[in-house]
Amino acid sequence: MQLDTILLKVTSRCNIDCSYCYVYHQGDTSWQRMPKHMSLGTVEDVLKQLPTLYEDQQHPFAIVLHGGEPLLLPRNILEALLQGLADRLPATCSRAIQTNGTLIDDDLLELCLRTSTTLSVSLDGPANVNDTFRIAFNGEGTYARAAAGIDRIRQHPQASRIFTGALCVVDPHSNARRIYEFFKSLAVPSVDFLFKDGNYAKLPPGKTAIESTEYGRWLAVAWDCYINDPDPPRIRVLDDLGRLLLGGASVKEGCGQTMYGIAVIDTDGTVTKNDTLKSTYDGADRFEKAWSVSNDRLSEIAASPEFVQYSQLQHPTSPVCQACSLLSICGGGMPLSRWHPETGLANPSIYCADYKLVIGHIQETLQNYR
Amino acid sequence: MESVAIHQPTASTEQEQSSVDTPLIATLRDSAALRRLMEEVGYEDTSGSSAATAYDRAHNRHNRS
Repeated sequence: MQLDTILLKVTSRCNIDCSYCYVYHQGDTSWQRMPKHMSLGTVEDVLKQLPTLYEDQQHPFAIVLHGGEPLLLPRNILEALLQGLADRLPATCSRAIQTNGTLIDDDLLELCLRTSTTLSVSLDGPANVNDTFRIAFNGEGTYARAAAGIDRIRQHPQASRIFTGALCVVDPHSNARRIYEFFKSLAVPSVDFLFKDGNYAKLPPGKTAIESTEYGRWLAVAWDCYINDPDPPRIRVLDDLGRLLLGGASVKEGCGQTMYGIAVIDTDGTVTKNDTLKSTYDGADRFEKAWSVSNDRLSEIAASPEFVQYSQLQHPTSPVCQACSLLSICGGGMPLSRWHPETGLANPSIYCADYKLVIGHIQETLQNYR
Repeated sequence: MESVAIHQPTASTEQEQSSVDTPLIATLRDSAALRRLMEEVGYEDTSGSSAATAYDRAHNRHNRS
């Protein structure tokens, strides 16, 4: 199994408290047992293992720094990590930081520039939308601080080399057109719209029933805005769905049938499964074997039966999915959204009706204007 | 596949979703987003971009909220 993404959990804590966060508010408690941030020793182990992985598989992979909030990592350790990755890996192994945007300063931007590291900022829309869920520990909204972070990036003379875009978790109560226009106004180079995490035991906010289509309708409106825009940004999820319907391939897990090799390195160096599985039950992202970046070779972990079995979770096992004509497009969605406390992952996604609606809508566009 | 109409959201939603009633595009090629996607999947020969280079795979890839 080839790895294409290494997600580094460089911190286990966050400076804000988004109510939908799968790390802290969906039942997983592993963050409580983690060191607050990756130590210099663990960073050194990462810097030994990742070049070895590249040598072993001779294929590039993306590295994403994540948390918690990754910019809570002490700056000297962050610098050692980013400089080490830049020195020891080819440029084809991209380095990115996914941040809430509240801790961005000019020194960080220079560090990113020096080490060819990009920044993506999580923001759900204008203040009245963003601040419904993305709040600080005192209950106040975080929009102003995140927007200031984005402004700081955009004011940098080499912003285009640093800023890759925004990550927006959809609030289906919001107006999709206004959200689209909001991100256009920020001149972000790309946006990804994510559905909120949820499963059969716990529907996500804004989804009233398994059969309801609030999220699908929202995304269909965003699609209409997108295809009518003379100068559109990249929108990852719409690009993936559109490309799949045109006969191409997706680039991210959650749609299409490409199997991605995703390994997560936790704050203490433990190697875990896709971290979004945390939203199903406590410990769902843990392997039975306690692999660590300090002791184990990543290519050997990736070749192990347990890792291959975990990766195959991306393919849905429900007979409903396997008989569905849209499986090659939706891919069964994210595994976490198929989870039921009694039947595990052997179910269609809770977003199945939403996917059907938006895929049908996109296909209708492609047929009508061909 | 059945045709899908974009209905108004449930009464509990704060704001209405509405699709673009009159698309500005006449063909797929009129849409910048669709033209870009078609080029990427090899629908057309272009000298300027290809599927391998037109899209930076690092953009928002495997990111989480």
